[in-house]
Amino acid sequence: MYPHERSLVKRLADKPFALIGVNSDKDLEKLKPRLSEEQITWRSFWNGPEGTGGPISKRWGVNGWPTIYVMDHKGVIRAKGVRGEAMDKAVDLLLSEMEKEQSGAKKGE
Amino acid sequence: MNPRLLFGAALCFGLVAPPQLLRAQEDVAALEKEYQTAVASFQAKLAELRNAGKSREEIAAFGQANNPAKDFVARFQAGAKAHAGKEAAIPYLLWLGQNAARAVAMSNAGGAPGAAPSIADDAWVTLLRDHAASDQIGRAVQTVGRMGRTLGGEKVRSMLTNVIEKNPSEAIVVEARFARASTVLGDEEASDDARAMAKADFQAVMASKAVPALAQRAEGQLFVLQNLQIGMTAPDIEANDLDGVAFKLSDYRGKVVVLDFWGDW
Repeated sequence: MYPHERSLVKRLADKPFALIGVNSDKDLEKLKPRLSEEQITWRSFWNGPEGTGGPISKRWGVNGWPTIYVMDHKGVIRAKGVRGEAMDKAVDLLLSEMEKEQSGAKKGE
Repeated sequence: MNPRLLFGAALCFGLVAPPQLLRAQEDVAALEKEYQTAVASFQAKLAELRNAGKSREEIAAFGQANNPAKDFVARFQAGAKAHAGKEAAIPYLLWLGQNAARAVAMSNAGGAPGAAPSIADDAWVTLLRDHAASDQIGRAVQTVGRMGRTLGGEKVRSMLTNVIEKNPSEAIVVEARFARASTVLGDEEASDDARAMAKADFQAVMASKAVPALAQRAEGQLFVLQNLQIGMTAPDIEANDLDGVAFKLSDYRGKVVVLDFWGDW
């Protein structure tokens, strides 16, 4: 999964897009060298020392990993559980929707 | 007191299984024993072939032709069919649900892909549909509850509704309400009515003391239903990043965000 996410982050580097992780590893010290090895550059919340039983994943009803939520620029959930190409597609659609909305707003000024 | 009356009363209160169910349970246990014997002798023959240095192809061909699983699955299916609709079908259906997938997969090098799980799925569906009032359907409730994607959420919900209306066991009704409500979470086509019903179901499960473990899960699922559905504004997250620096999900308003629950394992 890392390669796919790396390429998504790279491809959309100059777009209004962010990949945010919620990491559920229990041991941060063990995880840290892996971040540079795998070039995991995106920011993550830490789910805490309980790992997969941590508070964020619990609250978000997550019982499988990875779990994906996609939000638009207003913070509205627009897709869930999308992986691979489906994730790319959902993101691209929301980015173009956002661009359209903003150019529409400019014209309306 | 008349012993037959006593037996009848015990039957009414679910204290003893009815004789036809008992007999079917014995028949299934005997068939299961026969199956285990057949599997053991089949595996011994495979080992013999391996020890004799036969090629992988030869062993596979022997396995496909001689694996007892398909034959036994068919016999359990015949038993379920012979008693269809009656309580005596229940032990056969339970066996098929629990074992058919594994049994057929084991022998299935040449079989139709997907056939094995569907035999097990069919057994669970039949169990739920024909035996909605039985005390043996706990696992069928859970398994069919997760089949929304293949069977359609509406269909699964209507089968569970039937259980909720007919089953005298509070524990099974609670399981069924939890399962019925859970189907709505992954179902973008669920109607507003189905969503309202899901909310009431989760609340009922939380209020019931019949299945404490589910009461806790229901609370979490209710939050998902009310806050984490497509079209809803995501609840904020405020926590530390991996370097111990606090930040918020809402810091990223104005950007399209993929929130990725991950772990390095």
